[in-house]
Amino acid sequence: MHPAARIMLAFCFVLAALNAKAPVNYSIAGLGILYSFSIKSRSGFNPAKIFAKMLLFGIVILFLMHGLNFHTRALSTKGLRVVADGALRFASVFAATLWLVKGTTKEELYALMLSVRMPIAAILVVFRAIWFLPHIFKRVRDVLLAHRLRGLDSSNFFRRCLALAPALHAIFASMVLEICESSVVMVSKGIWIGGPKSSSLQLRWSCRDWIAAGAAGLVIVILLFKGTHLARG
Amino acid sequence: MLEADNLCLSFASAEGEIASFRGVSFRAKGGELIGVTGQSGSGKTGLLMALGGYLPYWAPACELRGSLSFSGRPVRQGEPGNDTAIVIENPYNQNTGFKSGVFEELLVPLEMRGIAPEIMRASARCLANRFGLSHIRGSKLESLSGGELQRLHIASALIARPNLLLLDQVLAELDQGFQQRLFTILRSYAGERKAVILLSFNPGETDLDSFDTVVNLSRGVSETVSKPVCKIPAYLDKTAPTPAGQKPAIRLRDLSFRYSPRRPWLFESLNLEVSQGRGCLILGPNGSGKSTLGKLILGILKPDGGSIEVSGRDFARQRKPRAGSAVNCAFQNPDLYFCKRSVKEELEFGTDKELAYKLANLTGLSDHLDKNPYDLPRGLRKRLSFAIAGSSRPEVLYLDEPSQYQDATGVEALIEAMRFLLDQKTALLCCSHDRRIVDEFSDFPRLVLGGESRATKVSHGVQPQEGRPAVQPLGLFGGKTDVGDARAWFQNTWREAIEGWIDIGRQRSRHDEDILQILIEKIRGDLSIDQDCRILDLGCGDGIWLMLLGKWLDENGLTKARLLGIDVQQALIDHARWRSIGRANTHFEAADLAEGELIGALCGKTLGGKATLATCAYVLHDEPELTPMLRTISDNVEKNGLLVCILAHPEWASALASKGFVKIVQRAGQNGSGHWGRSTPDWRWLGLYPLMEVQGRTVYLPHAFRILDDYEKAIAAAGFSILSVSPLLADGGKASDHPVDVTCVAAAEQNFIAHDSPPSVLIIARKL
Repeated sequence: MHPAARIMLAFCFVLAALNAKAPVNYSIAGLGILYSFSIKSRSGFNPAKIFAKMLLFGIVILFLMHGLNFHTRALSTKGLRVVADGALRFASVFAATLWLVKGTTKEELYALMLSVRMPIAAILVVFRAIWFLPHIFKRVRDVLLAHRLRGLDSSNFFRRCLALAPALHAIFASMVLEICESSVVMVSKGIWIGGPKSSSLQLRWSCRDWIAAGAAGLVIVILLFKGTHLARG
Repeated sequence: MLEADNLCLSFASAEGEIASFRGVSFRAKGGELIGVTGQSGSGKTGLLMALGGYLPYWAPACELRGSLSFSGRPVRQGEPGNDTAIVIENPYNQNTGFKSGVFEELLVPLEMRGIAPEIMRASARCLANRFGLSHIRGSKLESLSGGELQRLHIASALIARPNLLLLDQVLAELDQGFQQRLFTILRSYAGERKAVILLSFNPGETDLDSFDTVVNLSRGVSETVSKPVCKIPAYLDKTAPTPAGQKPAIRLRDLSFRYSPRRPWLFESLNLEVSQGRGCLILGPNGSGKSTLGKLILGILKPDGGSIEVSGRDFARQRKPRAGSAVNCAFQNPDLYFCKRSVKEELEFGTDKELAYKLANLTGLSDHLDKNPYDLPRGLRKRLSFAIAGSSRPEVLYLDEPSQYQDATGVEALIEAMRFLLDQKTALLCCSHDRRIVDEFSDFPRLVLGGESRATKVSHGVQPQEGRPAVQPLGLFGGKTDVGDARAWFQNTWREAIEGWIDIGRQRSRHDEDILQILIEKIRGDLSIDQDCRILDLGCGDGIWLMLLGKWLDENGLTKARLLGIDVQQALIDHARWRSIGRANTHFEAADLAEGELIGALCGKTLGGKATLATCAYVLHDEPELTPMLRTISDNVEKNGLLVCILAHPEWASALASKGFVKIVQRAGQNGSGHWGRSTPDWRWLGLYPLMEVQGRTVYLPHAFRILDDYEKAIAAAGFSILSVSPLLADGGKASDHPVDVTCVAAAEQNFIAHDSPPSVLIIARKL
């Protein structure tokens, strides 16, 4: 599927999940989550676990904020509804992002950006920004492993945080080296050469893309016309 | 023309200005290959960065003096030319970040120049083949080993056809086979393009003969070396026994691993034993799984089968690698280790201080104790990481490319430190493709991982038998360490394969059973093969005999039998020649296939699994091309029960044996040339004797290429059809009409050699 059509579908999904009345919106979000978690990642990075953890963390925080009535020491029904509503918003956005990340390759994203005439410097910045977190996660994992073998205890979350303190130096020092070397290589590959850039991947709109984008666009227009759940407050 | 005159590079630091190198002057003409060497920290990288104009990107706080020009224009720092490219030593920092596939990353320089996709794809395909990347072109970058990545980056630098190519210590990541190939490619490129290529390397890392000029930066000043100062002998992989009666520090039993169920086995039934105070060399080309084995031993990855025992304990089941563990590792990337401000603090942190200082002294770190680890050159950082890992007193220490980035002094220091650790009863598993390490520890057992072993079964740890070729034990199947067991195991497997093959496409009959029996007897009797196996034919004649056998099978009613004879040469990557085959067979598009895939496809897929016999006269020159071909053939052999005979030069014996070719029949000089009454002046022609009885006379098929009409008739008379014919001779096969006799054959052969125009492609196959 063309990445632009995919982006429209993701946007459509988020709006639909937020806008429909409960429990329809919960069903939409639930199905979206199930689908986005189950599809196989086409990119090298699979953030499903991280997203699941973040979602769970968000739900716990929301529950502590709204779900408990500390005065009466009881559960608040209204608060629980707020929790569910907040979780739904998180979940639908996560599911859409997950679907996009899992389903879109770097090559597709690059070709898309190039096709909308985004400058190569901006493309580079976008990619570095998007893949910064996965990259730093990997670096942290490697450094922690090396430090664990040196004697730093990182057997649980808190110890890992403590172990990270001395490791931060190693992480950032090695990343500075990487930035220097990477910039040399990018210049060598011709990033600053003037003139138009090309992409080895040629994106084409297929019939399926037109249908998907058309349907998504229609839904988005209707939802925006009606006013979204968020807009209605 | 590249001209450098009195170049001096210095860095600003808290202590003042530090000179990296000074007084570097040299000139290089177009077409020259220049070597830049010097000890760690002598300024090799700085010089290359300066030559390309990359200094401000690499190290902003540095100053370059002297004059520098390329093609008559001064080289301005920060404004590198569009016709300049550089490849740095660390392959992991060279990915552009907006590509995830190998092929796509290769194309980035062309994309930056706005080249049309069709053109860039054609260029990339050819280059990928030359760099042995074809088999991984659909892979993700994350799955590549350091060596494979470095190959990719060199290819990517070459794809834009730069006039000035700078390669900074790239040899450190490359295996020996590819290093030789790289020099051939660079020579050819420099000559054809009139480009200047500079390659920096550590002293002793490669032969100085490979360069036109060598700039030596060892003493902070440059000197041009015109003569080679060292020769490094080639070595052959071999196994050596572990002393009996010692307790094994580590034992791998039937270890199997693959990255996912859909990917082929990286190791299957891997066996290894190393006792305390002993070591093992882990050898193998890029991508063979050396680092993966380290991760398995450390417990970072979990094996799919088998066990890893450290001092008798099952180590593979531990949850995570931990401090004070019985196994430690000096990783390939030394930068992961450091968390303190000085080398001294690093040595005193979490280790046996006394041992740490001892190792630091041995590895030449004592003069750098007060420095920040990140201020050390990469070679010294690597030594520091070794000292840190070794000082935790592990029972087993896995060293991942310890000699990487090391000059001769550094390697000597490391070797001394490794000997010291061995004296401390530490078992060393040393993964390396550095000849200096391999030669030094020649008494160690060698675990040879099989290159593209991703698709092959590898079993190791077998003791060599006296008086037998060192390669003999490497090819045993099924993890069997006893020759008799392996033979019995394989005999059953092979018979099943043959039976399966007979069954393809039709009901089994008594007739087929008879043919099977006859076939087995024929192979056993006429070829004097005493065990059932795939055959690697290193000599002459047997391959042709097998071709005739295939014909015989066809004549005897085995309708599914097909015969395929291939002479693989560089022309395999000339896709135009193969398009006719692609059209003839709808199963695949030949133009899209790499060499190995192509042959594999021809052996198995093209013939729709109907092929029963294939002979491949393999005359390609090195490992990178050999391994993908064997991988694919091996796949098809597994799937289709194909009997494969490969005609190859003896030097490939060890590589082929490690790919699972059990039987090596070495017949050159016995039955081959003598049998056909001709001599074999060049090994490349071993096996290229397609003499056939056609219409009552002996026909030399390569010669028949010169008379295409006659050839077609002869082939048709023999019951074959020609799918594709490519001219063998430089004259296109049209110039002469010599009579078919051995004199003419010898003359033709001499002609081939004299013109250095090897046969292109010979395919004989029955149309489907």
